[in-house]
Amino acid sequence: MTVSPEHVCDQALEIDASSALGPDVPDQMPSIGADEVPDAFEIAPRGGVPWHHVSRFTTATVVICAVILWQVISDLHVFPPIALPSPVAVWLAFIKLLTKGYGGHSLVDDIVTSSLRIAIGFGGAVLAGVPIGLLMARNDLVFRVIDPFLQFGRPVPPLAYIPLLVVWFGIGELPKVLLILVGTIPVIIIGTISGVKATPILRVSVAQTLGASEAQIFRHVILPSALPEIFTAMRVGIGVAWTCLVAAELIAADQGLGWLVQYAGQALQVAIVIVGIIVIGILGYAMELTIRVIERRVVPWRGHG
Amino acid sequence: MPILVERVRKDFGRHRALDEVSLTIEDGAFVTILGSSGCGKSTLLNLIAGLLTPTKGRILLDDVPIMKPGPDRVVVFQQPGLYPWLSLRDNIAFGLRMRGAAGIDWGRVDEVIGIMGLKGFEGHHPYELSGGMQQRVAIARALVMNPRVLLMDEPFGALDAQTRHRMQKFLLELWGKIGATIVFITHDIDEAIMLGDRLVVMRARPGRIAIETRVPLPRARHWDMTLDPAFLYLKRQAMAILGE
Repeated sequence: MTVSPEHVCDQALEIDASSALGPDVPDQMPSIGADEVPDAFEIAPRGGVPWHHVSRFTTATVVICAVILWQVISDLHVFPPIALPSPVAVWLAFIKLLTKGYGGHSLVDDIVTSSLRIAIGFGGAVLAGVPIGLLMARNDLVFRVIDPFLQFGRPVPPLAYIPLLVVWFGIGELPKVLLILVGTIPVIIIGTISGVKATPILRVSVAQTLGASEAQIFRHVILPSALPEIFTAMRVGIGVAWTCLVAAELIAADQGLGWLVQYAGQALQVAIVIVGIIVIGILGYAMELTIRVIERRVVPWRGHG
Repeated sequence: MPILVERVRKDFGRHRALDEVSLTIEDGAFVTILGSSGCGKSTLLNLIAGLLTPTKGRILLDDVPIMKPGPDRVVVFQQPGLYPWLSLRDNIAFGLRMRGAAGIDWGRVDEVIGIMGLKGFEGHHPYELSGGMQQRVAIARALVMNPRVLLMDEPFGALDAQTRHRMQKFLLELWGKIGATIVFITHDIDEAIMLGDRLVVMRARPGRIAIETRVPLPRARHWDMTLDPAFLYLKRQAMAILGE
């Protein structure tokens, strides 16, 4: 049995599928040689155009239509310009923020400040939360000691801690980083525990019969099995972290994107407020995407069982 | 030394899965255990593997009671249970790595890859392989440990008919080469008789051994033998027990 007929057969099927894309897209799919394995599938909808083209086209159309609608509404002066500046005015505010800044900082400063707070707070939550989750999943005593705090802390919205943190630590960097940590760490811990618990029994049994020790099973079987869920928790967690940070900056800060939105709002600079909101949204999305990219690198088997 | 199963009982809570099971498995034998689902055949295999411990009675290997799993009794399960984060080659070397990273005999790993017909796929990951190939990787991962006993729990049950057929033939050839004891669980009567040189048929509720017999067919098995009177006689007996 030197040749594997099953595998050759699988490839033949994939070649069929690619040719079924039809004449509409002659150059979309490279022809697959008999000895190379395609690592991604392209699923063709009825029209014969691959899905990701359709979805990108749709997304772009929706965004453009929304901006046009916005411009039309502000041109019609349905609302006073001070309340709803036009897209053009927002764009000019954005350029001004980049070049001259506002309230003593440039936009880049605020982005860097906020990003650093996230990096430290969220990084700390992952670095502490994953080991704590692993310990809790593995050791019943540790679980019983930490779980009450987790269960108590979870239903409290992180924003409720802000006044307390301000009283204790002022408006410096520490309270912001701590808030992110406190808000994010339960998500990471719970995700890690659930990842450990979701390890298929079969994988553990296999390792046992191959002579692996408890510690080896934990390191070589359970930890990698938990990784996909840990990444899911991180993706949820980065959203929570971002929300916490912006909220903290809104209430007590002298720098950062949340501060920018708040400060400009008090001065009725709505265009700047809108720029701030858009930047906050884009940055949050970019952070999620970053984690997704890392995830694809670290757990490429995700979705393949 | 043979494996001795001595009057073993296994309860799961109130449910009695096995009762009064005694069996001797000679060194180098190919024993097939046949039974319908729920008859406790997998429980018996897991007891021999050491993944379970008997409620009553004992199981001896070299006169020592089996207490826990060990690499001298490797199990091949119905599902391959490969590690998706490891390449084919690293999956096969998994057991050797657990013994100590310095001690991986890569020559042995590559030899087994050759035997199992997996050459050229060393760097592939499990999800890039077909079901039949994945199961061959699972068998290779067991073989590389040089186990005294290979415990197989319906290893071909999840494969399509043709692949299954090829794997059965292949397993017989392999057994001729490696000389390990094989305990093979199945619910397929033809498979049980074709593969085994000893046949054990189990009855359910609670699981007990109904018959244990030598398979009176020459060792070089051929699929024409399914028409052999001796084959048909055994098959009729097994069918009567399984109530088909």
